[in-house]
Amino acid sequence: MFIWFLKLYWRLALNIFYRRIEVQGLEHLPEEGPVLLTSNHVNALIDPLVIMVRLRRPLTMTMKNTLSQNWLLGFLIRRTGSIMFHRAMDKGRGSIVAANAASLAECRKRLTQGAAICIFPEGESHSASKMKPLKNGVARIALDYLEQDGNAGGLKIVPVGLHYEAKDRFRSAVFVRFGEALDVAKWKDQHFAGQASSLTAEIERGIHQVTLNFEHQREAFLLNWAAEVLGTRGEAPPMLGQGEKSLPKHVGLVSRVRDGYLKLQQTQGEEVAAISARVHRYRARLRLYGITQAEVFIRMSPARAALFVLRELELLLVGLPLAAFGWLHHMVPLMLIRWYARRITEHRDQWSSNVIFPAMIVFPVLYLLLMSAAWLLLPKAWPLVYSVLLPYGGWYMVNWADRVGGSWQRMRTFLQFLARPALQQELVSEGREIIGEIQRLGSVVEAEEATKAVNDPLDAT
Amino acid sequence: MRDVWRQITPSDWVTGGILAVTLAVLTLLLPGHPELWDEWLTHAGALGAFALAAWFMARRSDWRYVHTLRAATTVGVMFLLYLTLGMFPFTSIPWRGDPLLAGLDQMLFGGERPSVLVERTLNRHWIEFYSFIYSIFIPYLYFSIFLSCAGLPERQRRIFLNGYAITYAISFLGYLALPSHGPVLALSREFAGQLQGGYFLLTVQQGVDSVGGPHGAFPSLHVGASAFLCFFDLRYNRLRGLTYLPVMVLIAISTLVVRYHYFVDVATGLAIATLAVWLAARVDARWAGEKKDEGRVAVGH
Repeated sequence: MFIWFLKLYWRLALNIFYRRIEVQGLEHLPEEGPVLLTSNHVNALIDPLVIMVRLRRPLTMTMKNTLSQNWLLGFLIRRTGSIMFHRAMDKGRGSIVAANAASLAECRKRLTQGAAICIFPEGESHSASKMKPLKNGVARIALDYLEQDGNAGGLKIVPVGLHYEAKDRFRSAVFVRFGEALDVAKWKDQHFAGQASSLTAEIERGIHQVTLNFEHQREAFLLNWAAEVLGTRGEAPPMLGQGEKSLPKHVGLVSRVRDGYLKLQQTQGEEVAAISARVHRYRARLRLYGITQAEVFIRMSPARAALFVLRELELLLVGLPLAAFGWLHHMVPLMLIRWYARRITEHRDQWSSNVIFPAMIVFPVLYLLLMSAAWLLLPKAWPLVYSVLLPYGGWYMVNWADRVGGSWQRMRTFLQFLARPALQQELVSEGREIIGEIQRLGSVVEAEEATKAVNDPLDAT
Repeated sequence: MRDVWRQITPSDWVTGGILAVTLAVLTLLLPGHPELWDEWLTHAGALGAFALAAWFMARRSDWRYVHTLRAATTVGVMFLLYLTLGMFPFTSIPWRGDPLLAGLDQMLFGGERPSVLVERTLNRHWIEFYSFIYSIFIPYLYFSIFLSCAGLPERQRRIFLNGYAITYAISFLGYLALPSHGPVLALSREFAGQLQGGYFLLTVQQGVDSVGGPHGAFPSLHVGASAFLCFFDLRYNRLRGLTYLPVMVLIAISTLVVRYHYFVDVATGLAIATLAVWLAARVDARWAGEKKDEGRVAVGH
């Protein structure tokens, strides 16, 4: 019951901090039987929660033991039955690496009970552009389970890719992608002499398939921008509140652009360099004017502009009282939480954990205090009205602020283009040329692949 | 010919259908009530004109303004029915729904009348506030229709019109089956006194009187239509839905405060709106799917 409530509460907290959490590939996760979920690790304590709240089946989490030194986290770790691992890098902070033998045994014991266990084989959360080398722990658990526990239930390893639009930004989007399950027994049959290191390499390949990895951050930014331009298709953006950009689609597009980029660097190096420089310049120009990629293509139609004004003004004015009510009640605690998070955050991947976890305590306490005061001081039905409006106002304020930000952005862009129509023409032209060039290079890649397939079918596959 | 039939959208069928039902009821009543001849002619003419418009819209589904025409004809028919169904059922249908509805309210509230209960908690200022809320319904309705028909993508526009037509059509069946005046007339002796308000109360009362007085209590279209708009927005235009959700709740309360509806009317209105939103997308998917199966690209796909 406690776990069920906790899961619900975590889900609520994540759905407030992140605007959208999309999931793909859940069909790859067996509904029952032992499973090891292996994921990339880029957002500290949020990563296991994002996976857990989307699963119907219970999930056992693994954590570094130093987390138990925090009273709240220690309590949660014990109550949720999480398994603690001791990292060598935490040696001076209470970590006893020898204790991992017991943790590994505990993992195998849970697997014999048909548990799903979530492990981050990189061993630490980070903000690098590509995955860190995987530790062998997962492979050892799997092989030991196979050899010593008889592989009861048929162990599977499911790779998970976590993609954050901007992991430390309030109201950004998240995409969780489950990859194809690896049947450990079948793998062992095909790799009879396979050791933990080869299984780790296989696990790494699986996670690579569901994540985006780049050699450098520069490359990550460049390919993301290129995919953003490509994703606009040179068409006008949808109206606000409609047809929001899909993170899974964007990730898919980035993946294809990256694959093409890597292939063409060998054969069309100069052209790739030229288009990369062009994307950089285009992006820099858009940043200078404060215009997003999609809004370059907005239609400068008086009728659409009038409709936009009517629609957004209605929401702004009608929603303002409720948003103001929400703001008045939530702004101070939000600012306190941000101040606290700024004080304790050392790395970017810790930020959202340091905001969400304190918020999960601060806001219920605040609500309890305010609602108690309302019930004591307000007459008749007003305490009930206040108790309903308080959380509703907070939720509304967050959504309203998202929308007002988007409206302001779009209106600014429209006014800029109204004042400087030539600017829009240049940007549209440049944007479409970049799209055309990327598509042309994409065809070159396809042609090269087709040629390879014809010349050497075995090699092509 | 078959192609034309398939191009007629669900909202056109529903709108034409409720017009046809109304005409059928008038036809049945006409022998005993020859004074309904003008009404009969009006509805027959409206049905003929609407059928022509629907046929035209089906034939010219790629015409640039077909969506505007569809919206205008649907809203126009529903407005006409709202006016006429407030009059002739009360002169020609022998029964009233008020005793049944008042009885149901009493049963649900342990012997009390919700409107009378509400009266005890209100003063002049609250009555004026709720009258203002009640009057917000009209601008909310027409502005929502405008935004939905002008601003939404093709498919959502169709779904909106489907749901709007379904909401009104089912409600009008209620007007025909159970003509009711509402507590303001039926329970007038049970209230402590007349409503005391100000400008907005007067505006509301004059507005109701101008369309034939209190009628069409069951079900509450104030609640049904505003709930449909709100639920539709929650699904397709979330922030707008969240914005108007409290307004919709206040509108529901206001219908009891101004005594035009029973609680049962409010509950039925909510149920109709829920059904309309659920049905609207399904019938559209089926209609669009059927058209796709024929190899013809459905409008908006």
